Amino acid sequence: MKNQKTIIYIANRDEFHSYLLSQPYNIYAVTEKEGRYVFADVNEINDPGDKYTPTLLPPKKYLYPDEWILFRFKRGREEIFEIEDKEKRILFGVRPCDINAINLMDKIFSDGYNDNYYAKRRKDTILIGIDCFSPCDDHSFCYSVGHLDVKEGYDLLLKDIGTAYFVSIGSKRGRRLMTKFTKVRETTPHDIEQIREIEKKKEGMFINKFKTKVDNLPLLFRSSISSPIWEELGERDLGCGACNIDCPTCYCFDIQDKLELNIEDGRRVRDWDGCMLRDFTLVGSGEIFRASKADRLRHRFNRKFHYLMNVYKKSHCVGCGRCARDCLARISPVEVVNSLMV
Amino acid sequence: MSERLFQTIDLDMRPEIMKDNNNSSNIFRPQVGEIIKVDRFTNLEKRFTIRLKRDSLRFSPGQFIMVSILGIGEAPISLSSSPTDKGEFEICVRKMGSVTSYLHNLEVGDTLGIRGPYGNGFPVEEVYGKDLLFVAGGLGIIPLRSFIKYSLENRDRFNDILILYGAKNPGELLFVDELKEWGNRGDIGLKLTVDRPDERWRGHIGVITRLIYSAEINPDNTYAFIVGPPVMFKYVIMELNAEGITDDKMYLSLERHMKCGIGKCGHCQINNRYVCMDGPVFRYSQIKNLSEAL
Repeated sequence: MKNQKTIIYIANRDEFHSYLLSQPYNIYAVTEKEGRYVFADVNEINDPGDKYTPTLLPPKKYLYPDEWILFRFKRGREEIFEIEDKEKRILFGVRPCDINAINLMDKIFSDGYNDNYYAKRRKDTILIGIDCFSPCDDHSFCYSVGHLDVKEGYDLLLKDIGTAYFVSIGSKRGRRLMTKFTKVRETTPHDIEQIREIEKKKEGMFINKFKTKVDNLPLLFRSSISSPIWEELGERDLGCGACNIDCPTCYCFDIQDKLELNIEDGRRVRDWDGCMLRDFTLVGSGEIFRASKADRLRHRFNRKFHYLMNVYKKSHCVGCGRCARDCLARISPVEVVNSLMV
Repeated sequence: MSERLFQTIDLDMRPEIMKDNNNSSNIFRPQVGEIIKVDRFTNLEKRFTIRLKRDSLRFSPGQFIMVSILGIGEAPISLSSSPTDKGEFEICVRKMGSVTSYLHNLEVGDTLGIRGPYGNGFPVEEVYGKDLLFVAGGLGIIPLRSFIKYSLENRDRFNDILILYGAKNPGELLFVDELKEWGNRGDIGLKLTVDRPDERWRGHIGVITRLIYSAEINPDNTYAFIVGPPVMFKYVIMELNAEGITDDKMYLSLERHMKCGIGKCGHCQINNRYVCMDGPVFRYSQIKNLSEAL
């Protein structure tokens, strides 16, 4: 157990940013875009700190990109060319909800058949998290689903205390990154007191809450299979699938062949797909197994709070609130859970 | 609070997916197969006999493969030959979507991609010594044929065998030469029915449940294997229940949209089950309470 050790430093914020930018990695960090935030390729780090609200798309786009090329091929000759993905990257400023979502994806993609594509990207990605001290906005409910805190999966986890970061190390890789950075000092009792004061208030600040404990959710959803709520929600639902796209734990995909203009060369790609879309369950004979929006909504919510939760013992919704924040029909997991409770 | 701040982390507790010794092969790369025989059964169905270039495909009855045509895509297709045929295997394909239509244009000597086999297959060994009742509707005969062939090759391992097979019209019956052979064997039962007979049809007419009604079945020793269009299952199950066959002795093979075959893409889910991993063969008692199954 000699590896069991928590190492905590205080690092000067700006110096730490410059240090990271000088490392041989592509850095993707939170950046402002038209009044919202996105993860993007950056030349400087400007994390919004406590002004952060979840990015339009979750950082899954780097670990599990849309239109992911599985291989290239030449038609007629059955020739397949595998692609070597050489990029090494740092994701900077990933919040606890999204790190927890990545932890869930790690399990999904390694269970049974190990997904070599995902594994490679995950291995080549350093996760630097930033902890939250307060709910990011009224849509977030990470507290209700047990994903307020993050315990693993990150290489470094930062707590932003103004001009400095309080740095916890979560992996050997994270430790190596910190040993090369010398502008740190050990924590003092005063630092710890300061953090403790901020964190104490955290849980009480959530107003957007489930009216039940997270452990009760699988049973609640199992017993709500024929609830009229699904029909009511189905009436409102637009079936656009935006919630699938912006969900950090939605990973369903389609596989398609795309040809270049010479119609000889092509690529087999894995595209993001969504269970809220009508054709998701269409088979050759024309049958659609979840034809109504009510059926599809029920499936999606059961995936998050029942089916996968029974297997992995954790809510597969991390409470980031992205689906609710951008839903034109204003369907929110908090509303769904609470109305099933009635 | 102190727990949160000073939680200890075992730095080697990386998720399985990050471990360095995890050098698995490419899960989406198909193997190259060569078509060595093509038989046209009807205007829509053809049988392809395929040999892998590098390996032989080891599978059990009821499993499926992903057939890949570069530039067109992939589709899940049931294996329909006996698993004991070494070195080659058969699929029987209806021309439906883009992959199957392209496949229909391929000829002997052409190559295609194969991933798999995937899925669980029928519980062959569990039913040694039992009566086997095969109920096939339409294309359902294709996956069942793999098990039927195996049971005929190993006839002494099973007790009575009865095959019930229904199609829309006589022209849609598949494996016609084999049906004649099976009908002449004497050591198994075979009953055929069609919805719309032609003038030469001498067999039964009507839905497949009528064949069950007229069959002699010993419910205590019978295991039923049912494959057909979605609408068929309910009625067959009702009729078998009436004959005294319990839900745990009925096996169904279900069809769903599928993209990966390996439990990742999400398309084939029936409530919490994956057809590609937990199925495609399900014991009826396993799925009867799943709202999305039948």
